[in-house]
Amino acid sequence: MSAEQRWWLGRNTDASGANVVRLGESGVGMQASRLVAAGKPNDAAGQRRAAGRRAVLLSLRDVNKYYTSAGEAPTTALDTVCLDVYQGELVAIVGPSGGGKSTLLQIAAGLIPPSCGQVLLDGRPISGPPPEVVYLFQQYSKSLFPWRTVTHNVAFALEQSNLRRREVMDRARSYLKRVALEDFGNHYPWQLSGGMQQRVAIARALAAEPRALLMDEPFSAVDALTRLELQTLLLDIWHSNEDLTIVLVTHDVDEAVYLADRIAVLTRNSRQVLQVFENSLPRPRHPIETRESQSFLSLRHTLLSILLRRSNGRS
Amino acid sequence: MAEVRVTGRFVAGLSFIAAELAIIEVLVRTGWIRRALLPPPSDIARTLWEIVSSGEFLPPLASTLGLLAIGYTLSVMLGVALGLVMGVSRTCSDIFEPLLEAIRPIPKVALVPVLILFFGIDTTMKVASVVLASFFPVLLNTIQGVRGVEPTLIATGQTFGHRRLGIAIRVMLPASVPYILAGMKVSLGIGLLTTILAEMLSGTGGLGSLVLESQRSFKVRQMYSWLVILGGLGLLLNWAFAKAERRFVPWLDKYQKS
Repeated sequence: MSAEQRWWLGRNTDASGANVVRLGESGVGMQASRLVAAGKPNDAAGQRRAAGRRAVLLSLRDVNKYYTSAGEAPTTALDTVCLDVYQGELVAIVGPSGGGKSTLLQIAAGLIPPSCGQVLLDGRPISGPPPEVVYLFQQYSKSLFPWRTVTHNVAFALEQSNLRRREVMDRARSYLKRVALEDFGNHYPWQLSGGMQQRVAIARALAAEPRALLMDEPFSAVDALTRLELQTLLLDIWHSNEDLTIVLVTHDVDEAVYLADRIAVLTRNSRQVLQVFENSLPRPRHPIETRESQSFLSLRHTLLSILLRRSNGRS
Repeated sequence: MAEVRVTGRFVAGLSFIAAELAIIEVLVRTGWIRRALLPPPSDIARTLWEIVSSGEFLPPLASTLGLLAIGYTLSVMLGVALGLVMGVSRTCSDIFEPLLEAIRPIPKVALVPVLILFFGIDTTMKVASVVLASFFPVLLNTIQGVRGVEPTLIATGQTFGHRRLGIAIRVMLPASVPYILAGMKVSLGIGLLTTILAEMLSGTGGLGSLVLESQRSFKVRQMYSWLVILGGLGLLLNWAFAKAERRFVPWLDKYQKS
């Protein structure tokens, strides 16, 4: 164990509360980890969620992914990743670019099959994209259909249902309203700004009424202020729907700490989920004040220390 | 500014044509060009006016246009349907590709005599010729378009629970529209060409047979008049195609840029 890790473990030994990192099931054989208690869930919504989130919704079991090309040694993208996602929680997976985060999320969404290992949804292995799970792409400009208007893009999520056309359009409009884009229904996506396009994508994802929303760096392509707005919008949506589970992949540690209940760290060298941190910053979180709190800063410090060390090739 | 520039270019181009016509007029009237080969443009204009004002041009034009419409529609439908199937399914493309590749390099018009053998010289033969010739650009472009669909769009279809068929129709087909349209544009030109040729070879009805007939009976002025009408038809078709493209596919430009 490095000095750096001893440092952060030591620093938090006096933190009280449920200081146990959920790592047990992962079986990755990693060093003992500690929770970084950053605060206590002190609001009603948080407690309701905390109480109701013991059921595992999505479970990654020993997921491996390697790519083989002729005449070369296989490239490992993911190495025996284990992660449980509880119903109703907001989990962030942080790690550097090229660390396999997106691959992991796509495997969890059933979009690509793992080389070995399993993804369980409600304890049952999935084989293909389950309707309960919706994947939100980083590149909104590539995932919105340019030939459909904004409303029709959202309606796409409902076209597999048995709803009547009228009902589909009504629902699409109501989800557009949810992201404050009701006045832009007849626009085409490419007529909107980046942030608005991602809101369309979010509305479309919500319209499918998924149990789990898997988001791949959803706010990395928009400017910093828009990112703050979208993060707050996301929290808002998540708070208003208690059953909604969100798994968010990001390289932005601030974003992870601001949004998530738990933060899984995936590093480039190990290609495993190294540690899972409980983040008990109080909810509802505030876009400015939360980020200035001591707990926020200390968790951020911890995560950045790990990520920077790991990506430098030392451990 | 741009408007002025466009108008200016238009005027320059038209003036050049007018100058050409004037020179030809002089050359013919002074005997440098034989009238039997090329009558003075003013004579042709007079004959053209007679044909147009009397409404004489309408039946053959309707016949040619009708033939083109049927043949073109069929080839677009066939090309898009088969292209979609071949673009989506590797197996289907493995089955059909060798046969199609064997037919493709044959200049289709060379097959018109074969079609005459089978179908006679009536509408069936002409439609078959048009389909055979104008089907390939649509087919090849559709295949290319479908295979090149942005993977994120397909994955989006998957994550919203659509299966193969749903993705093919709701995602791959519309996403390929820019390619399909490019193929359709090429097909339209080839279709008109083949229609005229089929009419010439069959000698029954339409603008094509009129051009040939008037040449054979030394009605040179008529021949040139029909050619002008044919040219106008080509222009009109291209204009209508561009207009329809903008009207029905407003997202085309944006899509190609991204």
